[in-house]
Amino acid sequence: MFVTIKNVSKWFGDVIALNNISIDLEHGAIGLVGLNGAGKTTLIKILNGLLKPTEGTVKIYGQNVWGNLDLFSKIGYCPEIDNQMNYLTGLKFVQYNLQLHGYSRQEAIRKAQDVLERLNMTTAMTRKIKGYSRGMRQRVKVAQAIAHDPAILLLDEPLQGLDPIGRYELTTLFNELIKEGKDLIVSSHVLHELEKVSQTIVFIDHGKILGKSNISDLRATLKEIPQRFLIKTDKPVKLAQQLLPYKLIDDVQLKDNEIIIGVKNVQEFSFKLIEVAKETHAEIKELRPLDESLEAVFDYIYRGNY
Amino acid sequence: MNDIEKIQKNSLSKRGNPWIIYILQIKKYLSGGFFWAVLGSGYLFPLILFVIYSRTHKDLTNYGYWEVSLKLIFEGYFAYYVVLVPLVLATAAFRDEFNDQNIIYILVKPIKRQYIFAMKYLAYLTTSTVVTLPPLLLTVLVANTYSLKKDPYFHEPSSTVLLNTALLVAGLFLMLIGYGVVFMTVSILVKRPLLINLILGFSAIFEVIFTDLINNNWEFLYIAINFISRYWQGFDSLDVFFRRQFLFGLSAINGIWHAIIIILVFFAIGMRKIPQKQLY
Repeated sequence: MFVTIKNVSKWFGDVIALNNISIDLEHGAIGLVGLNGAGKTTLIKILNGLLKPTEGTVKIYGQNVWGNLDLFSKIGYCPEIDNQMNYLTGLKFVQYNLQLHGYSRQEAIRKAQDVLERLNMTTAMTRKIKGYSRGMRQRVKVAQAIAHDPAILLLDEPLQGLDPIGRYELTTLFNELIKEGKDLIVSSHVLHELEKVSQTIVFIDHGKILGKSNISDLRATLKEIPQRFLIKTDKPVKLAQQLLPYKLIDDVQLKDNEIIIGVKNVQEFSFKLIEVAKETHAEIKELRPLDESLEAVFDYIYRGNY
Repeated sequence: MNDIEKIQKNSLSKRGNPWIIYILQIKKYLSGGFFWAVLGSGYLFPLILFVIYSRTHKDLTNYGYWEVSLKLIFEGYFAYYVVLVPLVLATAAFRDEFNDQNIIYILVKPIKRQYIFAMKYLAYLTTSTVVTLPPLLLTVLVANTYSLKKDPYFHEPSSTVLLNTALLVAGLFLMLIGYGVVFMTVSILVKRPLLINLILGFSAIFEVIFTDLINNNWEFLYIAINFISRYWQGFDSLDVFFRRQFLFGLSAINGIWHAIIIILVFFAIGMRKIPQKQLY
């Protein structure tokens, strides 16, 4: 186990953020998934010593976290906050963070340049952070988290606000870090982001751990969960009529030139849609999933567990 | 890699360099527009004094006016400006970073939290000195240069002028050190430190204004003199500082002792509270 959480509760006044949670986490990449306000950030802040549990114990590598400076030097933390020391350049920001970890100035500059180059920030690193795009700020945050080569990475919504290319690049980087033997805890409210980097997913909601699942089991489970898609077409009625009889279709709603459709097996549905579109000579102008959030998964888990 | 290997990796568990906190705080101060406004406003004191001199120096019958102006300028400087600067800088040192959560980047580093408090305090002291000392010296210079013929306080042997200037500077430092540690500690303890610090810093002024409101009496000079003499920074009014008794019956030396005790108590509270601080 690299993280042991025992009977941990955290109260903020009258509000309970974490409700008597206990979980052991194995080495590797852990995805912490839950809706906004579920308690993910609170848990991560407890894991990096920013918050002290009201009750219970949290140990990383068998050591208590709160006030443990030895452990702090082994943790890299990418917080959720979007504004970071805007008065510095990206390079200075990462350099100072390295010096705060005990690196000499020269060493810190060298390492900061290396890590920012690794994150494709070569040209932007000498510019002030306040002029950065959201994606650049996200990269700089990740850069300061990994620059000192920590054994553990705590990443709170690291992919938020990134474009698809940025997401791809960062998930690739996270997978490289996992291969290097680092332990990762990544939080997100978007499940499919975590699928790409995590071996284990921990579901958290209303301050409680709903369950833990490895990614292959979860994929199998997800196949059973109805997912909603939006289809824009020139023949919505005809297409909907043709699709409705199939078992994999959960429900169909029509609105102007759009069809909102609930499907159980996405792969099978995509083949069937092409087939039906050919038969009906309907033009598919747009096809996109509507269930990026975890609500569908949570509904399913709740229905299954309670 | 097992747990033990993981712990041993980087087992030279480095301790961070706390001076970076000092550098970051100074840079943060310099980046704020408000800092430059506070810095610039300090130079209004010597400027106003110079303007007053240029309008009165030809007429020796204006001596009384000049004397009152001199007193107002110095008391305004100490009573308002030297309270305002710590109020802005010391309160902001923690409050701003707790608000925008940038303190996270420091709190998760392998640095004892007491160093965070100490380094931010040092950065505040450096910055506030740079902000307040030059205007004070310039005001003394203007007063000394232009009032030799008119003002008995500065119309003294240069050794006395130097001594008085040194006492003014000592008083300035005492105020900066004292107010700074009080305001900074309060900003760790409460969620809205600016309001509390404002009341703490200017409480004597509020008290006098309140009294004056009741008495329907608006004498600003009286307000300033009362404030500066009722606080603990070691002054009565300019011409008698370190010589007279405080209104509370404290001698100047006792006033300094009181200031030192307040400084030590608040410093101890700050150093004790910062390790327990949680970031929600």
